[in-house]
Amino acid sequence: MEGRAFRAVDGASVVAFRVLFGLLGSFSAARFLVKGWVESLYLAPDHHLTYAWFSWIRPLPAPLMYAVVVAMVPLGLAIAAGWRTRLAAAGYLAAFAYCELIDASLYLNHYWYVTLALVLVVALPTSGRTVPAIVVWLLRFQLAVVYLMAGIAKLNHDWLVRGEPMGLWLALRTDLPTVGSLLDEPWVGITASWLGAAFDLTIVGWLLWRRSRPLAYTALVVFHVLTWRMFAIGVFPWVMIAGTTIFFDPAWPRRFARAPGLGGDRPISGSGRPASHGVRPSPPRHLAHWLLIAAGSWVVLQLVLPLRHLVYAGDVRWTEEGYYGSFRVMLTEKAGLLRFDVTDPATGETWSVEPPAVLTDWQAGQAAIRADLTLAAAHLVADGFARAGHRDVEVRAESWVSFNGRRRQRMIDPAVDLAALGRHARASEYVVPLDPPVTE
Amino acid sequence: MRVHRWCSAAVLAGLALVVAACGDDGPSRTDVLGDYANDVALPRYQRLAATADDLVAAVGEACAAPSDETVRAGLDAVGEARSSWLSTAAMPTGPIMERRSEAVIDWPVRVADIERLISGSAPGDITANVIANNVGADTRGLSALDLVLSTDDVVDRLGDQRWCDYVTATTEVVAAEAHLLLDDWTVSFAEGAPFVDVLAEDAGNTWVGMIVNDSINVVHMLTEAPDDAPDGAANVASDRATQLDGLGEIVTAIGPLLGDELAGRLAGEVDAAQAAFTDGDVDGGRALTGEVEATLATEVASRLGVTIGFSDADGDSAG
Repeated sequence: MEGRAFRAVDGASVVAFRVLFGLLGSFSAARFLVKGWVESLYLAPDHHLTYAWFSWIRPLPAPLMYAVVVAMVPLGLAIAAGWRTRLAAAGYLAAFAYCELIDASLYLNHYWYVTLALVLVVALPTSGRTVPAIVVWLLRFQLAVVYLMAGIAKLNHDWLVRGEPMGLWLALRTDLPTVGSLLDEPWVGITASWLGAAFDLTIVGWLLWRRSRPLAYTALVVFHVLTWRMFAIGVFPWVMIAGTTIFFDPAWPRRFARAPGLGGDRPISGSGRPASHGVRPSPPRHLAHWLLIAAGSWVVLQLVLPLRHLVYAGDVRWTEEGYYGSFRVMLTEKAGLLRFDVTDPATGETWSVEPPAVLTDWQAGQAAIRADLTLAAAHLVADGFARAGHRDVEVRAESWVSFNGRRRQRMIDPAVDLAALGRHARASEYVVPLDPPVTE
Repeated sequence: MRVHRWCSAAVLAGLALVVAACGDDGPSRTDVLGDYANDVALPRYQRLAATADDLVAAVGEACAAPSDETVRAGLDAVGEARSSWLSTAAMPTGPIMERRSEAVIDWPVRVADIERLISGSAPGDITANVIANNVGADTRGLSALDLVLSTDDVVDRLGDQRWCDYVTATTEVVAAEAHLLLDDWTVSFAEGAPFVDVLAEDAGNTWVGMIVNDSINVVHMLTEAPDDAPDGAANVASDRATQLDGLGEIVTAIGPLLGDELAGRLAGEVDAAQAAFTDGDVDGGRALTGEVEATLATEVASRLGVTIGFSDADGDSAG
């Protein structure tokens, strides 16, 4: 086992992965700056909907906040260049994780993948002519988790039988030429849902099988470009298109470089040193043993974390409990209406508070459809009243949500005083069960 | 073998084209928006302009020969124009929002400001230009006309040139705004195509989202408690019933995009709220209008993709 795990394999594909990953990281940070998101997403909001475990994290003052994001540009380039790779990746990871933890309404599954991949880049050797085989397999595994968990999450009644929410989304694109007139047909939504589930569940296998790999990668590129064209999912498709090159033969960049006109058999090494310089010896046996245990623990954690919602009451798509870090990508379509009814029991005064009173529109939109963010918003409302001299107000939510095209229903129990609940409250304490229930 | 593969590919492509050609011929979004623009919204704006013209004529006669009859005719014309405005303003997407016409055509009135304007003017001072550009929104509009023409001594007041200047100028400003709105719909909107064409060619779904969002905003205002004592206290309940009439037409128009069940249920909710307001039950109407708002903001928004759920950043946060 140890022998196979630490067998030296060509490091070219890992280097290529690192180069593409670093470049995309740098591009993503630059794009964030160019689009003005530092201001609009971090600095402009008066309040942030924090994660329950990280409610202490706040945006830095503007110059420092910009400095953090600006720093990610050269750090990404350093990762790509293989210059102080682990230090650069650790710096990028710290900056990236900090930014992502500021506001839970900005959570994206692909950001979570990037975070995990950065951890691997920090922990694993990603430069040199050869790398231990386990490095290639861990990088592959991390991407496989994304597809596999996304596929497993699609195995539910809504996705496979009702063809939702795919049907709702496709129906919005009837303006497309040729196929547009088909996109609001129910069977198209169901067919697309099944194809999507089949893709997610099997693409890793097709990529691993050498004979099917070219066709599978072509399909993957087509799939991600199509989703990029049809849905606003930013850099996610490019992260996946670039990342999945790790499934190619470890020597693929070298072979690619040998192709006529591409410069011959030059070693691909982030350090730029001669090819012979980067051959890595296997670790000592006792160290290898512990490294394998660490890798195994990582693998188990990655498999358990996305499925933790199974031990929680209720449907994760409705309660959102266990959603973070689960790679449940594009599985729900929700639209909600939220208002808070505030009562001061000391005076008997009552107020009706709309979420935009404390949140920006994009935060309010998420707070209206994600129960944990509703709770966070309720606490912000209570804090605001406390500052105005009304301590210990009761905050109740008038919350209606339509889920995957269903008839609207209350999401939050209107009898529950959300201000009295802790931020770590279980969804079962304040979320009204979906009626009728849907099962995975 | 290679020929066989190409043949297979050609057959598959042909099948795909056949399947594409067999798509359901149900109404597309552009069809529905086109019907809404031409058959629902445009007639409302035409009626608004016509009733505003009638108002100018009626007020002109009241000023030329003040009497109970001519004043009554003027008041009726105000009522017609205001009813037309309220149901049209329930469809504010486009020109009304762009021009902020509400501040010109109908706005809560401040009586003291009107009287201050009259007392500080000489005959001939108050013109349409003054009303349009030099006074606040609370000093003009249909509610202001309704208030002035409803006073007990209105016949005597109209004998004062300054009052006639005021009501004449105010009606002219209202009529001019109504015609500018109609021009936006039929001639050119924002220096481009007429808005009726802009809506009918909304391939990108921009205006569907705005219509739903504007409807939610209109409905939300109807759920709010009326001001305690607005000057010229118009009939809050009947005003809201009239606004819901306009909203009901929107629901009917976009119904084909919602499906029979949702369209029918939403229409029922609008009817129930409208009936409550018509019966003078403001609190009941507000509560029922809240149901309409919830359905619009959740099921309708979801069905029409108005709130996809993605954040402003790139993302998959819908799921």
